[in-house]
Amino acid sequence: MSRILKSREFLVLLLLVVMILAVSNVNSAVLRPMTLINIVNSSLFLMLIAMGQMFVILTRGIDVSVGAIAGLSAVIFGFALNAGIPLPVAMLAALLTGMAGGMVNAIGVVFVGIPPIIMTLGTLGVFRGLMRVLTGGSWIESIPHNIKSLSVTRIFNIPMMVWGVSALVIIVAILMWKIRWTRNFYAVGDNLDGAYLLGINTRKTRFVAYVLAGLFSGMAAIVFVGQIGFVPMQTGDGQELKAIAAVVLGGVSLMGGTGTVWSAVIGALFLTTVDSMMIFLRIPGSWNDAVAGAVLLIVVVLDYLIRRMARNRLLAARSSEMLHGEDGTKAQTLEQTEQRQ
Amino acid sequence: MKFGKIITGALISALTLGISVTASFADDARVAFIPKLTGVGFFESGGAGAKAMGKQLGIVVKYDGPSQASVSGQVEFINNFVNQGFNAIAISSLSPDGLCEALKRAQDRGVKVLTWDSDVNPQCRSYYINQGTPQQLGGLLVKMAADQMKDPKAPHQVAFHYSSPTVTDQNQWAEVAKAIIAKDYPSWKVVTTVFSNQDAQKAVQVPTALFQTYPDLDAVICPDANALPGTAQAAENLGIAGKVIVTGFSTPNTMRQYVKSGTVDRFGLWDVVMQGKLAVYIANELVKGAKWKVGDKIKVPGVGTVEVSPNSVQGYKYEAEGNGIILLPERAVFNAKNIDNFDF
Amino acid sequence: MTRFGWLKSWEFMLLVALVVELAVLGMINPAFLNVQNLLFSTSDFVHVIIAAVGLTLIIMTGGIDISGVSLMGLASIILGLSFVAGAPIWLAVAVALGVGLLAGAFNGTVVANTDVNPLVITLALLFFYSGLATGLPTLLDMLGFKAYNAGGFEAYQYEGINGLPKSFTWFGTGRLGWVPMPLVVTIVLTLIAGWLLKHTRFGRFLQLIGVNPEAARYTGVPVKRTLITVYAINGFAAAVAGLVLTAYFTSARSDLGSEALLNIITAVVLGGSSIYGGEGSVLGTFLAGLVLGFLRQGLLSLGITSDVVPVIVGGLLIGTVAARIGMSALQRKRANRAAYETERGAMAAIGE
Repeated sequence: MSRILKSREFLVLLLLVVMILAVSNVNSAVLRPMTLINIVNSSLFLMLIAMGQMFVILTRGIDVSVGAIAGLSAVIFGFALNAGIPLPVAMLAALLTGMAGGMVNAIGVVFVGIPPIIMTLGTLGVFRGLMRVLTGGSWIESIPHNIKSLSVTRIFNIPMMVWGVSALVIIVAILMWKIRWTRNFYAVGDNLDGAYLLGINTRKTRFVAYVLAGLFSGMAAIVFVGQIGFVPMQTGDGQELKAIAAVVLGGVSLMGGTGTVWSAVIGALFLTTVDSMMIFLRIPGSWNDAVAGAVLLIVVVLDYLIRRMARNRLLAARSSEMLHGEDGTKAQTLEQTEQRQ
Repeated sequence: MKFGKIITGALISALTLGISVTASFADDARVAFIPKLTGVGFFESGGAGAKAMGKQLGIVVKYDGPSQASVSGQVEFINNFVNQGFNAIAISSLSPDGLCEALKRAQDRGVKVLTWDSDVNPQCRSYYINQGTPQQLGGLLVKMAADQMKDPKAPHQVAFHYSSPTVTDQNQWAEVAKAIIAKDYPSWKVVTTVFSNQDAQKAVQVPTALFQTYPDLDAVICPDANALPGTAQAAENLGIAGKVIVTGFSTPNTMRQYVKSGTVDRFGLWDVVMQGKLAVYIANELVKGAKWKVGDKIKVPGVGTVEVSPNSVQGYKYEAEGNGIILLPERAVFNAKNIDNFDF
Repeated sequence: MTRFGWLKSWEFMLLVALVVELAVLGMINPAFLNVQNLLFSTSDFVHVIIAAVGLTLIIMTGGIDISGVSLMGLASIILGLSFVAGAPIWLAVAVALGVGLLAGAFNGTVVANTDVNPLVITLALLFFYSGLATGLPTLLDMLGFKAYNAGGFEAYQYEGINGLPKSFTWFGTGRLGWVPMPLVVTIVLTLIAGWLLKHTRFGRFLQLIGVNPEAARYTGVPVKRTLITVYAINGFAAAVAGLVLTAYFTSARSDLGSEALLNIITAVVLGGSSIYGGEGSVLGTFLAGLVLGFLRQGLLSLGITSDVVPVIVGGLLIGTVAARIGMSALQRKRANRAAYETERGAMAAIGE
């Protein structure tokens, strides 16, 4: 099972590579290391939000407030920097803001029992409004210039932030692999009652997932301010759906219980790359969205067709009794529907 | 009822946040000053100017608008302000035609309607507080780029970068700028136009790809508050700052760091604070019954003397009594020398 | 369930919420309760309800379609372009609605024939349709069509298309008695969708698919055909929403409705639909849309700034649902106690 899922992320990565190679036929500048590094650099913000989102979706939840949390954290971060607070403390403030936002969601979802989509739609409005109330609606500008050193400093030609986020991804991947407790996320998302009966503290697990989503959004805020240097009130707008799409594209099931951190990473890379490719293809600006949408659609359909082909081969090789297994997500629906009722 | 209580509680707490809807004096102007969207430095500055003038004149001025740029959001605010008894509306319109019905309904109920920053069809408003005609602003964009070139007549590659293909004013300026380039600088080549949809992240990502796709690019013209700093940042990230001309329209506070670092030599804007003040002053006069003809000069305390121009300066065919365009006296070009004199 | 079981239904709760909300807002600001203004102000947000009603049917199946917001703009600009190209207005309307229907059917086809999550598919299509809407005018230029204005079709991209005939704009600005036409259109659509869901086989299929697609397939539900149909209906609803906005603004624009997505989803989930499928109510969505729309209008009419409004709306959204959960928990407790009491009584009776 896990092998097939691994190949899901790998397949999307493969399609990403194919897309880049295809574009390089039109414009070879795409293949320059500098170009690729810059695309990775642009994807960091979405990647971090998507990683946080992944934990929530693993537990069969959803968090549409992540973009707003990132915005709010960015505002706190900007305020702290403008107040002359040292960078590490300011970063801590941003992370704590993110965690606090996540905690509000967690309390509503886990302890009050509000459906995640409603809770986070509500906090989306609350956090976004709060952001504007705090700033009076103006952008936070004139942030001390040295914050940019985070993004401009390059080690071996690669921006420090890329190194930082890469390290974070690897650490998270190792933790998810080595620490048994992290499997609770999967267990809870796969079958809440079952996990409970196994003695897993389901409340704690779900609580942690939402707090992590907040924490990663806080990190995304730091990346944002480091790269952009000012905080517009639109920070994080619309990123929630992009983050959800990124993890789902990368192979996380919205029904919970399946997916890895690589899903979030590859999904975010993919969505960001599509945007840049439009420019490299020299497509007129007004057609960007149409072509980007078409490319994305073709890729997801292609991904499905390849998987189906692989599965059909597998099935053909097996005995006919196995035919009714189909794929994991749909087979689970029955028990999950029962669970909900 | 439990949630009844919640609703009441929340409303009362909201009210104690300091909002008063009480007593308006029949004759005093109550001006609603509506931006395209709130939460953008440029519009907030305009709003600050409007409120400052309100204080000066001792009238009520409310600055508010949709938090996302949408025609339906603006219509909602127009209707709401009219219902609240505001008797003058100054709006920066997202659509030349889309607001007309709502504005006409407002006028039918005796509300004075004027526009600032971005206009509607002249039939639907009285005066337009204009920062500059498309000719002036498009020309300024080209001039700022050309003045930085050693030999403006030599072949150059130019690109445009702004918010979206559906935003009215930026597209008009860009169209005029392209026409001027075709006429005055036929050797230039406009290689592409890219958009970043008011997304600060995309405003860096898009020009990064742009610079790599067109390595011989000489200038990027960015008449958008997000696009200009984003393009400057992309140039810095790629280490080509100073080698490529980056210019356009944005606010001084956002651009200060890029001007100081030399990435952006100069960029333009108009004094939006003054535009806000002017709009409120004119609105107040209109409520008091003033009517100006084309050619009339108006003395505005703290702003200077402005003149009413015919609608034709903006390319309209419609002219009528009590209808026209009031141009801001000047547009500013900011550079390392003067930028510290501005704070908005 | 007793005869008064409906009193406990979520739709009834929403109706109560609506009345309470109007009463409270009216108490604070009596001017808000001007019936004519109140009815007219629905025109500012009914496009959200129309799109949400379509989406409710999809959410019943456990799917989602977020591309509707782009279809609003696409339908609008297609109407405008057909009109300036010389088509009579009824034909332009038909073409725009047809495009919405076909686009929706296309969404449904992709969703029904792959296992890719509908959110991802329709996110791609959200970009695609909005890109199509902005690109179409330039495409006409490229194809060599001649526009009447100086800037070519491209100028329609940012200027919008006006001059639409009164017979069309009446659907946005006219009224039947006291009721503005956009609200009439919304009510008609809601009734049709509600009837589809409650009283037809198609509606039961939708629910079955939402509860368990496998079981639905085995019991002979034409899953693919049903899915394609329901996505097509949603596309049609989105197109209607786009045209109602166009008529209301008397101007066709490619970016109409693009900001409505979260409001649409909020109306659907507050209306009582579960995003995991199988549960949903068109009437609930309609009422939730009114609750949210009037709340916004009311708060603004109190002079509360747009910065604070989302905070209050978000807080109330959470509060209302939390109250619902609290109340049902209380009810359960009461029912449990009642059962316990009767049982004890019975035991005691036996004891005697």
